Amino acid sequence: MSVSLSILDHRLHTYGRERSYEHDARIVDFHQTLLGLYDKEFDEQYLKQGAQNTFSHMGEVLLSRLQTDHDLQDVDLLVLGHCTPDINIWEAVVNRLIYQFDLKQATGFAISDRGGGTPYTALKVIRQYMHHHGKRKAVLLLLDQFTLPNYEPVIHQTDVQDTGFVMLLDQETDHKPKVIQVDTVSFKEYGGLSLEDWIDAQRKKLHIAKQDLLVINHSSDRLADPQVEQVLLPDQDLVVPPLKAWCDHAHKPYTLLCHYDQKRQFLLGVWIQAEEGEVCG
Amino acid sequence: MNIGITGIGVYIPERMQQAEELVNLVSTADKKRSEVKMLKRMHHLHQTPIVDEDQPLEETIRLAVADLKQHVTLDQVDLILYSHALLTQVPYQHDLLYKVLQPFGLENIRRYGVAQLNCASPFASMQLIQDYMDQTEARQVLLLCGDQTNLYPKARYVMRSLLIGDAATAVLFSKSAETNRLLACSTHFDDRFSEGIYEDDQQVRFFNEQYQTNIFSGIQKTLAKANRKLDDVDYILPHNVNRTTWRTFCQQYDFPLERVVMDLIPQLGHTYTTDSQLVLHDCMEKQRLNKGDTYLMIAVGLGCFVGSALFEY
Repeated sequence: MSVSLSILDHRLHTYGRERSYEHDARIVDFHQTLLGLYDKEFDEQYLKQGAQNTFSHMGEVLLSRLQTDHDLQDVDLLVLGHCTPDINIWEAVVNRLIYQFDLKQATGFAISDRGGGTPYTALKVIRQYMHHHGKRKAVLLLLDQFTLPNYEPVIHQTDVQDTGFVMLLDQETDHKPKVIQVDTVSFKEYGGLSLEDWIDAQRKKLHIAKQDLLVINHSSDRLADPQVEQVLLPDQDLVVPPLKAWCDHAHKPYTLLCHYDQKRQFLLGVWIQAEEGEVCG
Repeated sequence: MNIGITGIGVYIPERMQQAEELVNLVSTADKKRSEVKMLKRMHHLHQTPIVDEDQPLEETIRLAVADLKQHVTLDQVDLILYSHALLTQVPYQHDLLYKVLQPFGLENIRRYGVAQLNCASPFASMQLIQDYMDQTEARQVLLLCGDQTNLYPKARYVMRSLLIGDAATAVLFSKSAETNRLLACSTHFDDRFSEGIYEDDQQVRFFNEQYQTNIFSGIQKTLAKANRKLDDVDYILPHNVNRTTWRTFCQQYDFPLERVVMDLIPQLGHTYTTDSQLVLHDCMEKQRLNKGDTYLMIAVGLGCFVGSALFEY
């Protein structure tokens, strides 16, 4: 399938603490019981410390900003991607946002249970959906929030802030930047190639010169080839950092967002072509 | 290409929670005895399955996959989707699907979760499965569904309406299915009810008023895709919320009540995302379906979502 998705616009936002913690016995009871089943210790201090940003608030901020420059009424699909849980444990956020922003013709769902691979999977699913249903516009909303009910070293030992990213995608225009390819390849499928060899093979298939490519991947997957420029991300299972790095650092004609998932034995890649001669972000 | 269901694995916990117990735990009504009587007599709701207190969700879903594996081979599965109604089910970084799939050697298959349509989420997955199989060489896709609220009695009972229990299903979709051919599926949204469980009494009343209309709109959407009418449907395999819902639907839309398969309502009640798959499994066990029968699987999610899929046996 050779469908490319133009990125009509995107927004990144880091959220501060916008409301104070309110003790809710039902929520506390829920977390306590849930964590107990999985031998984890509930500590309300961590809930109190968090920035208290719900997914619906985070989505609302991003879509409002997008709406200032775009009419969203013709959006066909809204996909939420996340790997941290919402602090509002019952809310169907996607439908709430569809209602709030009057996305009359949109359908939507969330991609979950995919860890840091979520943005890659979400883009793949969006491409397939748009192509199969002859739809035009989609919104991808990626959210990381860190108000959690227990201690998580990967979160609490690092300086992380609630962050969201939204992308307005169109499969019918030739606007750039555009997502030109999304790969979700199992280790078995690419036959034991190294990450470096795989990137090289794909790069050649797409006729991208080495000097025209920026690779954004995790620190543990640093490429040895000094000719390939890289931006390295901390080894965290989050959904926004690769897109944030693209906003902050993309300056070459092509960027590869790469997720080398050792545990699940998958290699995920999103190839983005920049607007010629311009720095994206 | 005949995309369809070629295997269903189910897990229904042996332990049952009786309507009396749930009403006593949760209801704030003064007359609990009459409430139980109403549940049983009017809605045909008697009990609902509940997993043991120390059973993690991965075990619940694993048991459905194990059941499926007794009947089919999964060696051509190319994608695994997991649909769930509850949004927070396991702690952050629990890696639920890895834990479910690793004992079967399926942990390195493409996989992701599909949610936010509450109990109608499996039907969003079915659409994605259809898209995926149409556009790739994939021969088999596995759809897992399962939620459990054994530890939260409040999430197991909606006053005077439904009992909610625990269960899991593993449904195998194949590209060359000879039975259970998927003709069409869709999801219908009514975004006026996006507050879900947070709606006030007035909104809940409005939701209830619009309930049948929404079910019908959802069904119509799927039938239109398949170029069929309601009359063409031999059986509705419903979400098992209660008998009253379907009796009202049948009266309102002139559909024969005996063609809505409600056998499981008294035994199981509603089990989040798994109802209509459990009904299909039951129909197949009892050889209730004949070759060529068309049946419609349907679920309604708070929010409000109606998911439905039309199949030909």
